[in-house]
Amino acid sequence: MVEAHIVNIQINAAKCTACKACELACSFTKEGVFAPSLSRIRVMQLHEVGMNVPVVCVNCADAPCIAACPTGAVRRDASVPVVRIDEEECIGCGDCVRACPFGAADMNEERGVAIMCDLCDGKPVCVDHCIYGALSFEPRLPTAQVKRLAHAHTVAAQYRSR
Amino acid sequence: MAGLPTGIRLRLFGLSQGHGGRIEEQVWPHTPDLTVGQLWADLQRQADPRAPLASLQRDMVLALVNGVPVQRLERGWDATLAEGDTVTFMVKAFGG
Amino acid sequence: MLRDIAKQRLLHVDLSKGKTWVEDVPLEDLQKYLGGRGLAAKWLYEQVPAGADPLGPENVLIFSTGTLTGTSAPSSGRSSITTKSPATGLYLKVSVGGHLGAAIKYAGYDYVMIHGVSPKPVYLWIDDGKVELRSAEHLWGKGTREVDDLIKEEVGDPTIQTGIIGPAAENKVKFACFMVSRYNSASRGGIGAVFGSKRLKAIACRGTGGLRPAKGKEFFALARKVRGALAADAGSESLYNWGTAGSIPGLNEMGMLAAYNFSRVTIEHGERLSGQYLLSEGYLIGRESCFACSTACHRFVRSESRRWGGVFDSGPELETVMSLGAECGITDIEAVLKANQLCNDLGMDTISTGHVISWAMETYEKGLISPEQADGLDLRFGNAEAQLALIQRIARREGLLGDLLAEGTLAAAQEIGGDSWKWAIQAKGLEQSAVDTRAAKSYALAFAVNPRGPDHLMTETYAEFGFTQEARDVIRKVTGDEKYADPRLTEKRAEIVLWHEQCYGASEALGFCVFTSTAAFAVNPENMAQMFSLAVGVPMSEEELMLAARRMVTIEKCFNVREGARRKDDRLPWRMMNEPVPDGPNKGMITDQAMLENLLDQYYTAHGWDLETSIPRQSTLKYLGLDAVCVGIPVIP
Repeated sequence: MVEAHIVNIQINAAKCTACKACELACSFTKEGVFAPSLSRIRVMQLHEVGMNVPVVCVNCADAPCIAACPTGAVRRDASVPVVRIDEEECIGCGDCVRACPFGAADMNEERGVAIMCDLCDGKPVCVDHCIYGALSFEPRLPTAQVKRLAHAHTVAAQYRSR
Repeated sequence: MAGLPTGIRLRLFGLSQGHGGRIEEQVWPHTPDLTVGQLWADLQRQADPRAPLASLQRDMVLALVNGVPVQRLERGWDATLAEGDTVTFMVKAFGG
Repeated sequence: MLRDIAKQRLLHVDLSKGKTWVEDVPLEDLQKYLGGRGLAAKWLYEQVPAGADPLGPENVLIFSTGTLTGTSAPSSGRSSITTKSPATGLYLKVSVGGHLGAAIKYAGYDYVMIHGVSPKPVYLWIDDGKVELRSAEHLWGKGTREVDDLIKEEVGDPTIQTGIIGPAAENKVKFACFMVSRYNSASRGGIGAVFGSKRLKAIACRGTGGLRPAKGKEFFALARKVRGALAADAGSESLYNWGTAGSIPGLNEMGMLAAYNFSRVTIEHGERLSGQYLLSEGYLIGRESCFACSTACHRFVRSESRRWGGVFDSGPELETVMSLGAECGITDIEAVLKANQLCNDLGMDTISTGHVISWAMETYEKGLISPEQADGLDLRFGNAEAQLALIQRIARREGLLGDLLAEGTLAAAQEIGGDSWKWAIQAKGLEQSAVDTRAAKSYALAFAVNPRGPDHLMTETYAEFGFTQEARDVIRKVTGDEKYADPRLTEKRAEIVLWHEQCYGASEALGFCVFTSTAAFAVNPENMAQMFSLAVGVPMSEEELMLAARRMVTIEKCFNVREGARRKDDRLPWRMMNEPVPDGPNKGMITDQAMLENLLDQYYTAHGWDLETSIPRQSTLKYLGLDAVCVGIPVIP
């Protein structure tokens, strides 16, 4: 199996109920407080259409936050394919926040640093707290060939049941 | 009483594929000593394997005999059914 | 603002003077009353003098978040609003979900107490530490959804949380509600009319702060464990799948579905009002949680009805489809969705709206309301068109009948006269929710003693049906034997009611949805006490927690006693005590006066209240540490 390049939290917005357990779990784990404003994942409630959409860093291949960071604090190390912020090197200028097209980076004003999802070293706590199946995480995403095979099985099952 | 439909009047709700919100009625042949539990087991055996009915655990079933929950019948699921009884099976629902 | 959970803060807003100030809540008060509904009951007792006009400047509105609201404790995001009810003239607590409570918490407040009456329409804008009263003159007269849009536009942030009244509340309809987070309703007892009387159109809040539990890691781990247990509970699964309206088909088959103003207990095609039907027929488009909830019983529905017009809304809840549907003889779900949307937008409690109309329909069919008095509406059962017209007339107090029904069923029956009071399904002035109390004795007792009037939302004793092992376990724990899980029995009902009363009290003070502790059972007094203790940082045992809940129930009772309520007021609607169940498996069952008196004796005895008057004895008040709080009531040693 070929390892995928993209590693991130998979979102199924249709299953999100906006309980915000992900925000609570994230802010507590990362900041020691229950504060959605400090969560790295945020749920947008679109009341007018009855949908809820979780928004979190998608680890862009060509990440604008990395390019924007003047100190090199935002980077993707060769060993871990995840965009992360080195808080020691972060000067709190907010350039990455402005650069991110999704709003996945934000500021912790009190500590004067930028915050962004780091996937909790491969065990994202938000995913653990999502009981509705809106969030999932597979560090190794299946390749297209694996997905083709799964799809073929689904099709085959439909034929066989006729 | 020839001519009148005999047997057990069966009312199923939420148990078949794609008809979750409609009551499905049928007449089930009455046999001597038929119990509620037996009727349920027979139904499950005949069910489309994809339907909720096929895999439902008994403690998740609301079973009523003439509107009375089986738990309140003296013999519970082992209560025997009589000609003309109405038996309802549905998935238990809670709250409100 | 980041703060410790133990450091609770009360925001006062005086509408008469246009002033706001903040008061710190002493930790010992939080321990003694658990916060939320508990502290609010004490404050209401202290703030609102006996005989005060519920719609006058002396009444207060206390919006309380739960003590654990804003944390990861599962389904802990509910709030209470406490006041004196314009429908009953007695104590009123209304519980509501949504996300407003959490926002207020993060803004730095646990409670908001509204005093006085504003000279002009205003809304309260809480932007973290900045609190202001803004003009609502341009919002007055508008529906709740439009106002939600307008306020969000005005503050420039569509992600804020709101609570809003509609035109019905402005017109002081006695069952006007307060719509929270656009789709959640704080419904009963005319809570919205109190907002309307104060000319407070809305509360809007943006909270960006956070909360620190005392023993964070342990709290977080326990909350996660309970969340998992709750998600696995059969009750939660059912509520997720079908919402509260999933109970409809079972109730209908068991002959417990209130229909035609409680004159029948089943309705043909009742299943068309069910959550299962909404799902299978494609009306359901999404499921929604209140803040931190692990059940998601709330939902979004869409209907493109040719006859009734398009609907996009939340719900409908079980009580809504029963009250606006079956009780009015209507099983056309698309009409009920429309009626629900109208009520939500105009800001009226669907339970009381349905019941005041079902009363009018019966009265019309019996000839006591003439076609002229009905302003030309053909008010026969099943006429959805007339119902939809009447909903709008009530909200705007249009026409003779609209204006009369806006006063509630009790007042309407007094005005119409004849025997119409016999089918006015109310007690204490509140319309009973669509639960048949004739065949379930704990329900009957709980409804009769409910301080706000006969409904299931202060003390629902669902466990007495014993439908699951968990429910039977509760009954065994409370009564000593599983065999008492039988709603037809009268023995041990007081024990069952007291336990549920306290479980409700504790759940609501902490912010938990009562579904987690009394419909599903994964949240229980033991783990509630543990979570309280770990979050606040003070010891709390299961016994202390339940005692504190008993304390709040007692204050609520004393509030009513001070207003003059006595044993004779703890009663059920006439029909529920005098007309036996007409058909079905419970045919002939009744909770008559004699049976109710027996249940009341059991209940008052268990509480340590005087049997003759129902007034809490001084020895009881002393034992609960309330002798200095519950003053101004007759002293019975």
